[in-house]
Amino acid sequence: MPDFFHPCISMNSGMVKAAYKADFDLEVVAEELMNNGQFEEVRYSPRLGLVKTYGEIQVILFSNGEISARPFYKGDEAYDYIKKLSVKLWDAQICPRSGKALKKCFLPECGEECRAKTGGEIPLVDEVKK
Amino acid sequence: MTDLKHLRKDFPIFSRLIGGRPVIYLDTAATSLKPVRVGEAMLSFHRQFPANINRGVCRLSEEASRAFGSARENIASFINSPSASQVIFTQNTTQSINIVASSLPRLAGDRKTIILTEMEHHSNLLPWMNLAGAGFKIKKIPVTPEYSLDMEKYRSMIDRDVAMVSVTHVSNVLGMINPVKEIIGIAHDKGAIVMVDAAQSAPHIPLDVVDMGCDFLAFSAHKMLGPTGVGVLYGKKELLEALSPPAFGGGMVTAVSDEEVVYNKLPQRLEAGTPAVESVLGFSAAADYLREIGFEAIRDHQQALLSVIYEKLPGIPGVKAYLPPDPGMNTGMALFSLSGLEPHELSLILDRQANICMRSGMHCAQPLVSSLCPGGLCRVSMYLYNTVEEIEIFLDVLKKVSHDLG
Ligand SMILES: Cc1ncc(COP(=O)(O)O)c(C=O)c1O
Repeated sequence: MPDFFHPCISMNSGMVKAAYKADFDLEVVAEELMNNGQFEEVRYSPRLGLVKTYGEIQVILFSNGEISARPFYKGDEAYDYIKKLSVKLWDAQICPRSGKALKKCFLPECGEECRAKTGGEIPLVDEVKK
Repeated sequence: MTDLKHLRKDFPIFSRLIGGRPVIYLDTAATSLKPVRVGEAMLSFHRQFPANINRGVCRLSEEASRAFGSARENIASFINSPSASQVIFTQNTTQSINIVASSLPRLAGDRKTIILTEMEHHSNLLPWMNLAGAGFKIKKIPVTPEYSLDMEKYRSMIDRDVAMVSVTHVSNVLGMINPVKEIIGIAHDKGAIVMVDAAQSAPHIPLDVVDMGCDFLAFSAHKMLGPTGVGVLYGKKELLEALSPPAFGGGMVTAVSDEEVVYNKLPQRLEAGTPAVESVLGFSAAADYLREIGFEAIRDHQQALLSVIYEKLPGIPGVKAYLPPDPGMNTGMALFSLSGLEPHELSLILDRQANICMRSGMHCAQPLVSSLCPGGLCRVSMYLYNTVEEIEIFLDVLKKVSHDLG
């Protein structure tokens, strides 16, 4: 489980910083998060290589799978949140064979496979520093 | 502009590429980078005389003791201390201030007021707040809308109940230089003791404790190109002698029996236990390095970087900059926010975009920062190894972030 990132002890809430074990198609990420209805606004910046949400919970997701989310008051809450969020991001993962988001992957050799992967939690790679 | 670009080769971090790009280090106020020479000075201890100091008669111990002693003399001359024995090596600024604060009840007589400023780092706030139980009350010199200290207010606060005035020479949040000499003069007229927190001034301003007239002064090696693990407490001799030793043990005594302990003289009296010898040697090398470059050149360079910041930062849409109006009074910091982004988010994005290292949050000075912006702020702090090109990259990325996300 990633540690809670609390960079300034004077702040009463913290952020979780972690990385999903996946690369993402950020355009699809933005669509999925927008459709989700949980966020007031979702912005995708191709030149910054990230998607950012606005609202009560603020998430930044980079194309290499790095994610930060805030504010949280407890590490467990933050961890649960990013694990649950990953379910919604499932289709936006890049298929390593076609280089496309699972949602758009129609390669004959893996299309079925990709489409057969109907969701779940995306594992995390690096566990976070305090 | 004094071009200090040639110095960058002395800082190995600039040859490290992350994601194919070099690091843009704009967080010197948190801790400075260290030139190779500092590391080499520390290694000399391990390689040539790795023995404990002032404890043995073997050659290695003698050499280590001599090197340590000359490092102390060097640091003493760096701040123009009348004597090397008035330079006490501590762990850092925080410990130096704590040592003085814990002795305040015995230094203060009947006086019960402590004056601080509204711009103190927590390290020059909490040690004094901790004395509330001993009956001390704190008053703070207000910060004006121009980010200077309200000296009129200070004059009206000070009276013969003030035991201690402890002020930061340079704000770690704003970079603002405070008029410490004037503050000290006013305090001494009323018989108060003055402690100066020089953590942020030591890297930028030549320190002269005699000219300044302070009673105590504290700073850390790691903010001025030196290693972590060592700092200084300077004090006037009679005041240092009046402090309770922060620790008791080896090295601080000349004789011990069941009946009696004879304490050593300064500085050993306040330095029980084996000190961080290699860090002290690195500290001394850092002081030499700064001296060779010269504070005039550092200031010129800093002002050139600041002129780009002052010209361009406030004009970026969504940016609110908190800059002292006179850049000449700023040691190289810029505090700012970007609407729509929380400081830690902005800091993360700048780091991932261009390896820009900067500080975000409350900067260990929550009373000041939260009064400026309750959610915290971002700070870039520049030093002799930064370049105008780096500042331009920072501003450019910030502009993009402002456009796309702000
Ligand atoms: C003005 C000021 N005082 C004190 C400190 C504490 O320094 P240290 O952490 O080295 O003890 C700092 C560190 O940021 C500072 O900026």
